[in-house]
Amino acid sequence: MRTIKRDAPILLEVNNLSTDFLVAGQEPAHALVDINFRLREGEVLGIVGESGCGKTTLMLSLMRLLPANGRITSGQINFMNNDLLDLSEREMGDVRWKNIAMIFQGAMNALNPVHTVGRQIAEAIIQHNYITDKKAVTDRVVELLELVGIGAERKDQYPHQYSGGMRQRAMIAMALACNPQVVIADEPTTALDVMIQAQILELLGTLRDKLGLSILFVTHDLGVVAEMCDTVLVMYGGVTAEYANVDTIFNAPQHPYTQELLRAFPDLTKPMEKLISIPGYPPRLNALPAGCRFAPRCPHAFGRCHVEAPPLHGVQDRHFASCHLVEPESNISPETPEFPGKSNEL
Amino acid sequence: MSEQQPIIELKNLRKLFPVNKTSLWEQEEKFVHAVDDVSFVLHPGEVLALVGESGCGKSTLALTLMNLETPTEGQIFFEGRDVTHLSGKPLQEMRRHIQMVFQDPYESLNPTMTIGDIVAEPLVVHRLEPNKQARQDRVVRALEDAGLKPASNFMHRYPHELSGGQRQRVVIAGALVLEPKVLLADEPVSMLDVSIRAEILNLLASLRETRGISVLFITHDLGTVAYFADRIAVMYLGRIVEMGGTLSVLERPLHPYTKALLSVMPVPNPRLRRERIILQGETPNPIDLPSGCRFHPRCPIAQPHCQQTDPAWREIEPAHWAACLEV
Amino acid sequence: MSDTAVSTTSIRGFWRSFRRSRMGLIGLFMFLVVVLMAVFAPAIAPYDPKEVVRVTIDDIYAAPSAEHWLGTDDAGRDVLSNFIYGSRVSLIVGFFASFISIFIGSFVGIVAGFYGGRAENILMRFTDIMLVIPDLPLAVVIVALTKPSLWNIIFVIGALGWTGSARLVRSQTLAVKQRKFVLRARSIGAGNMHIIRYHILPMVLPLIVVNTVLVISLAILNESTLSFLGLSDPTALSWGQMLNFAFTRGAMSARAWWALVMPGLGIVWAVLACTLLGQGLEQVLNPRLETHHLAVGVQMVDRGAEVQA
Repeated sequence: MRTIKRDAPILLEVNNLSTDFLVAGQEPAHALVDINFRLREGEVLGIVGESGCGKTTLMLSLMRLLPANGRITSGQINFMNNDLLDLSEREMGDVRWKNIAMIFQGAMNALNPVHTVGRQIAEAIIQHNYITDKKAVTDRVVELLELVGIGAERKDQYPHQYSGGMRQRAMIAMALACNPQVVIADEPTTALDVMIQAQILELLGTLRDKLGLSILFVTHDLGVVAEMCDTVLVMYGGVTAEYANVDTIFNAPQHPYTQELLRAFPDLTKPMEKLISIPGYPPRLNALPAGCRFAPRCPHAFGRCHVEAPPLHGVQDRHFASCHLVEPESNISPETPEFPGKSNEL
Repeated sequence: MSEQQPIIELKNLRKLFPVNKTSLWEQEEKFVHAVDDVSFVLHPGEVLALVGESGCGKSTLALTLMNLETPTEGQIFFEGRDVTHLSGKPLQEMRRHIQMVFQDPYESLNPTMTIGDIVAEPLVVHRLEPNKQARQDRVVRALEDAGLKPASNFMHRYPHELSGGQRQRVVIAGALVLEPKVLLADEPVSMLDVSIRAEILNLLASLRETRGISVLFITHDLGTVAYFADRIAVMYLGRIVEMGGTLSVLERPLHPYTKALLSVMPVPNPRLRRERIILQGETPNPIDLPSGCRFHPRCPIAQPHCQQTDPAWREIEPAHWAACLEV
Repeated sequence: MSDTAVSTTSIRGFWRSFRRSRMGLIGLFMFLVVVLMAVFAPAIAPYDPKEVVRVTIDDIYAAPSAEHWLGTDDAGRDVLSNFIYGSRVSLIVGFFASFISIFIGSFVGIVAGFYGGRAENILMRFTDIMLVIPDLPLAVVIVALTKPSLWNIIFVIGALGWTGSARLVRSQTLAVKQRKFVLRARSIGAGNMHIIRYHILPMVLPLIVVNTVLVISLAILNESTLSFLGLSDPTALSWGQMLNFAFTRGAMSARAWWALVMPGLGIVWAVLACTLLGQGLEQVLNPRLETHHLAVGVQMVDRGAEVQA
């Protein structure tokens, strides 16, 4: 298994981030509650959850691109020792593409159909780097396209002349235009075929190694997480269910949701085993259960789960789960959470 | 099982779509080879999985089976009867027995109709059960068989009030109400949340047990197939390249395309990060097909003769077929 | 998407979203005023315009007074009463002509959009031809050649005003036809008629409703124009006819502004009412108009006192 350098510095540190959605005439909906994680240089952090678990809200909060009724109500987003939430909109605009770039799910919608791909990448370079020398810009566009495996001769083509996989590559090239340190990849392979998905995952892996990129990989596909990620944050109903390194999540999960999710996920290496589904449906934001948000679907729920939301307990060093059942094993007080990023090796 | 009369049999089915590439000087007739010489049988109570990437022709094949597209060549048999060119009443009659479950439960339900009306619609279309009470009873039975219990909770609601999994159950109920013999399920779980998928798959599997329905399961995801298909057919560029029992295809894949596809399926276990065979490039355009074996330009084990000879369909192990010169 | 689905499937939900559109509410109010005026004309109007009046020279273009709040016209009739009764013709023409337009337009649009192929080609080319022929001169010619009765006018306005609706309905039909539930209906074995009735029509209907309201305003305007040009049923008093009479019978030289302003105001009022109401309905019924806004920078971060704590 790949290991991250011992002294890799922490790039992004999110502390107790909470986001509400204001609803006219009602209590605000708590879309995110106390999210904590750390992202080191060269680390791939998988953010996993089902629809409505808050993973998209988390991404948008990090980028400060929430819809008009979204409010970040508490917490810090420290990026290289600056709290992004303290920045002015203008400074944030600079951070957005130069330091933290985003790859979207639907590449067709994110590319403008009336401009050539090369021109769209050039625009990203010019806007954020203030380069005006035409030759330098063209060289950079070619360099970026080659980096993602697109021949330079295709820079003057339009998005509709690209296949789905090529478009996603072009999106990645665009995200890399300003040499960001962190790339947020929001379901980058969801609409793609498995073979193209494998190509894109391989490309992201190569880019991480080559450029030292840190990647926040948002997905619902546990298989992709197992292949790509170093650490995993499992979200459910806007809260952290479990946070640990990838091996622990898959082989020694503590939160019942993680356990059930793994049992519900088809595994090619174990055919003919019966799939177990989790009864019920993920909670809707406007109807969150009291107490633990997973309790109504949890096979191990007991009285306390329905009234009291469990805090994030440290199960072990570098392993966190928010479940009343893991509390007795806690050896780290919840007030001073020790996050995986702080240890030497993952 | 094989002595039984198959419920569906395809013989050399071919579906070409003409493309107009007319220039001012020359008019060249070209075709998209969506489905090209496909034959297989589906037995009663069997689950056959049709696996392939987008553009391999699996959805066209389903539409052709439903008689929503007319085949260019070949024959379709339903319970031994040639139904390829049926029309009018006999076609209506035949359609009752083959029902389809679509990929997108958000799109395949009319948002202006109630759940009860949606499930009753097939009965209205086929003028079955003119008695209101009897119709109602059948709708209730279909909804409850699809796991929406009690049905009275759902009858008067609209699709947008239901979750994705519940909507897919409504689609299934709408198919079950006609008591079909075959279900064509086109990627029925790919739009659903992981925790819900298993329950829809298990529902489809249980329908086979309780009602003896055969399922043709069309998907790109070998992972979900592994759980309940009896046999797997792998399609590439309009053709079936490998077909066999689920376990033998998964454990001893013969065709290099199947091998590559299996190797890149993400496995939810980080300790099993395997050597992946990543095919470069993308599936070629089905208009200008490669010569010889259609897979040779991307095949990791291609030999010179693959460029000339179109491989024949051979039974390599008992009941395990493949079309490749190198196996 | 799901929000708009709520609004189109239940009347209460529809009203809830419609209430949010201030323009729509104003339009609805203005529209109701005209309708009530037309319905209760005999009760509201102080005089009956058809009544034979004995006129003296002082009654012609008499200025507003306690007896005649808005003065009298060239024949000594009460302008206010004429105005109130005139709304009836405008509304009758507006409603019936727009129903004809919408009926033809929806039929052509749905047939062209749903069946495609040659039917679509022929119908849409015909629509295009109708679209480029200027309505008004054609209407003038037809009305002039036939007897300018109320029903002739309704028919002419209706028969010329459907092109816009046909194009709109066609494009919506094309969009709905692509949706998966239509494919699902086909796979059940449903025929074209069933699909149009159960799936296409209900999805196109909101658009048709919006369009009807907008076409009403066009029809009212067209009727007024024709009447103003003197091509109206002489027995049916309408706002356009009032304008025509005032214009051709010396209201200008008599400085009788009241004879011109009131019918003009009525036309503007009715047209504006329909336009606003149509826009309000469109915001509710047409999902494509929904816009999403991003919060602006700093206001998005609202950490309150928790940071210091």
